[in-house]
Amino acid sequence: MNKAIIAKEFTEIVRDGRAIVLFGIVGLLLLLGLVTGFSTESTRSQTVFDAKVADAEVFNAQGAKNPHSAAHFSRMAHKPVAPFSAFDPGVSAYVGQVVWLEGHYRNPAMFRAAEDATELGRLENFSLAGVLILIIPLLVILLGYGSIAKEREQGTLRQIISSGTSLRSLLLGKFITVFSISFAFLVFSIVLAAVTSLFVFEASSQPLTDLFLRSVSLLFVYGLYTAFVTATTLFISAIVQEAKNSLLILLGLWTVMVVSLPRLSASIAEKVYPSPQSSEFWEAMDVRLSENRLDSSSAEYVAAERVVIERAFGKKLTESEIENLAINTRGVRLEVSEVIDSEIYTAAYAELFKNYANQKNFRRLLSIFSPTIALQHLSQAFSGTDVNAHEHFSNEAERQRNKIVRVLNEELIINDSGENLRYLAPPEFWETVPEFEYEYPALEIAWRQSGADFFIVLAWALFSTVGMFWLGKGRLEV
Amino acid sequence: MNAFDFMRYEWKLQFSSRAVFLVFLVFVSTLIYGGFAGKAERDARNAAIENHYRSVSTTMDSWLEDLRTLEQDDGSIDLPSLTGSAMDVIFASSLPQEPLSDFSIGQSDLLPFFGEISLKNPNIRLFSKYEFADPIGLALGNFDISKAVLLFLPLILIIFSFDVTSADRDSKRLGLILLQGINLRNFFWRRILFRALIVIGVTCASAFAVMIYNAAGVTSDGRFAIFVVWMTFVVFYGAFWSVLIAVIASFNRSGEFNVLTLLGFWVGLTLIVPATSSSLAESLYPTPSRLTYLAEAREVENETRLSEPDVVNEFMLDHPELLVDLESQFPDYVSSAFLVTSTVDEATGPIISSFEEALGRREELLDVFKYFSPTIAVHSLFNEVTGTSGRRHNSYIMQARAFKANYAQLVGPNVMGKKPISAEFFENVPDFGFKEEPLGMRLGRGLKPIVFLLLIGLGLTMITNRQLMKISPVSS
Repeated sequence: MNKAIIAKEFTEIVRDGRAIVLFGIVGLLLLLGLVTGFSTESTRSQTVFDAKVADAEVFNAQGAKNPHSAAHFSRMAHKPVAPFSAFDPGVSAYVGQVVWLEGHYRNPAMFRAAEDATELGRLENFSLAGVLILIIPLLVILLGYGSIAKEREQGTLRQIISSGTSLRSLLLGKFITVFSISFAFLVFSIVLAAVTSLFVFEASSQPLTDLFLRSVSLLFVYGLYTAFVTATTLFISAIVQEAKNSLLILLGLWTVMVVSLPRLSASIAEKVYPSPQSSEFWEAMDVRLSENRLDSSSAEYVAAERVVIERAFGKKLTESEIENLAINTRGVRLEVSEVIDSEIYTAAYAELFKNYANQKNFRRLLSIFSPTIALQHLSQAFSGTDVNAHEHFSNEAERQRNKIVRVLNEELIINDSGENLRYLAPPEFWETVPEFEYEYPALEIAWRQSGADFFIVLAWALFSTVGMFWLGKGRLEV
Repeated sequence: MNAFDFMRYEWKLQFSSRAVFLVFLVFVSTLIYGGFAGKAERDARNAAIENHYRSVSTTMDSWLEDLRTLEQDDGSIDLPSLTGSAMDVIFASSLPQEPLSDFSIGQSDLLPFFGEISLKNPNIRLFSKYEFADPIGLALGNFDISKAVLLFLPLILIIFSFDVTSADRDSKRLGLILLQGINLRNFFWRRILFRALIVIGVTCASAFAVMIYNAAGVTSDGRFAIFVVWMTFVVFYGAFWSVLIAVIASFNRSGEFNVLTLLGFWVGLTLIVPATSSSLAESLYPTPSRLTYLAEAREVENETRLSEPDVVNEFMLDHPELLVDLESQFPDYVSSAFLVTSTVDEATGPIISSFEEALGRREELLDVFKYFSPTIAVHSLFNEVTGTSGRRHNSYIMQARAFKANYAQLVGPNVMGKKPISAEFFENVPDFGFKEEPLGMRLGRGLKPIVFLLLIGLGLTMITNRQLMKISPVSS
């Protein structure tokens, strides 16, 4: 019986010219989203590649220079384009693209791509994910709002039931039809995005399996979301007497759950857990840094000094050996302060990212009213464009900064004996400074960090599907 | 049925549906929340600006005190070696908040609105280390009352008015109504007008309440006048959508048809046209990448350092009057830093120019799209009247750069000559002040599309009237 219902539903949809026009519009929007995403991300990928090469060339061409001056000039850590950013750019345009790995300071990532975009672009996210999140529910609503209500209006519902078809079979048949059409659009979008990503990542080492698993994960969660929308649409269509009312209620729900709540949740989360103003952040940082400064005669400072010297010479040294070493004390002081300050920077940035996490948790709380919020979190996480991915990059960049500054300070410690002349490292020295090789966190980490969001979407999908079939158990007025 | 009876009937008709009432309530709550969210953002910006001026003032007071001590010093007081250096001078700068800035957050959450101006930083780092706002909030666009109006006012109007005649048509009552000799045009337009008035009226009343409430603690100069301008655009926007609804409804099709068509218009005009036009503008006129700008700046910085003696010679040739103080306590790196930043700024000037040129071309292209979508036209005007447009922020950044360049020119000889500036000289250097483009000019740019859309609205009204004349008791 189900097969007959599905076949009948498909035939009706194919024969309905409006549905075909609708599919055409949705397909066109998805293609536009894809082209926009591909064009933006491939340009960005190329720019990052060129900038990295240029930065290495400039750094290596410094000539003879004092290592501490070089630590101020330092290197840049460029953030590569995320694995699936052509599908869902997430927050990548709203966080910086490059970190200046300067001595003494842990800088935030700078140059947010969105600052160069038009202000109109902020009205709506026109990426493939943005279009899917906005338009797929609308497509499902338009396909399904009259599924049961119209049958009832036309009196055919009673006929179908009296012919021996159970309500449950009818709902299942309609569910499968609407769901599979929407799912086909999802498959089309995600497969195209994956192929596109292969082109964007031609020059990178993104493994193919990672891309495949990300595609499957995205398909899975978007599929769950589509199941929720389909079940809810059929549920409303089944309990409302007129198709027009069903459409109005569903559009009202779409406006609230898809258009309004995700925006409002972000705004409310920012009010509940406000992000710091830059001036506040740096003032607080200055205070913490100065409070943490150690007296050079303190035991803690002396111990840190010892660690720095032993690390520079790559071996354990006795007290007398240290005393007899011809080392640059300024270099030691610089490295000790780097080590001490680094703790403060790490703590301050951890607090900043903790605040972002609190904002995310708050939005997650509001996703009990709209699974769209949780889906957005999942989509960004699996695309590698969420705040967690940025935090990973920021921490890796800091690790690189510590590495570079240490190499430069040790060059100063070992080679500058502290005579009157300012030590200049030879021109070939700069090439020995390690390169920043960044790899995005594995998908597994994204899954681990998004467990709660996944269960929210799953719960919504299960709850709505169970609700729909519960109606089918004879609780429906025919 | 007199006007009062009509209004009572309509009121009952609209709010008898709990779903419609609920949606309306959600809309009003969204407007009020948007107002509060805008106020919170504005207050945070004002506090940040105040804090910034206080901090710069403290630093400069101390710097000036040292300089005065140096000027009176007989050599007995131990002062920092850089006392009086023009390189250590920092200026506070900010983009003043317009009286109605709480009504639209615009680009103010994304672009810099305050920052120190110092010769130590080349233009590329003039506004740096400020990117701490919640990225998700930025990506979804911070919520304010203007956004609530742009996105949701049309939807509420659609929900209230799509069935202006279709409800009667679908229930086969329309023919009976017409048989009673009712003038359909009057009946139709009275209904549209009444329903639009309820929605637009409540929107304006909510906005007025927000305007009064949010006025606490800020200067109210011009706030009311700007609010009236803002409200005029709201009325225009609401009226345009009402006319669009009327024209669709006048085709006398089913309620479902009306809702679906209007929804299509809403998705097209408020989401798709703005998003595609923005993507198109960015693709056709890409701004130079900031990463390229940075790479160029670093390359010039490196080259300048490597050829510093030549650059110094060039500067000396340009300033034959310059005498270097050989006794100066100022370390060499001060003048070296000055040379590097000046050279980097000069060398990267063309990149900034092409950036501005690309922005200008984008604006021109987007101006064309304002004729296609009332959302684009009104969105831009909202940001212009509230002073939160990207254009105003970019103007602030350009003015800050120009201020720095002027100051560099003023004190360059002192820095290169390793001489301090005098306290008197410092006090005569004017502070940074943002030169505002008059509101009239800002509005002028966006008014042509509004006039065009008004004419379109007029045309749609005429089409509606013609369509209404085709409806007869038999056809309905």
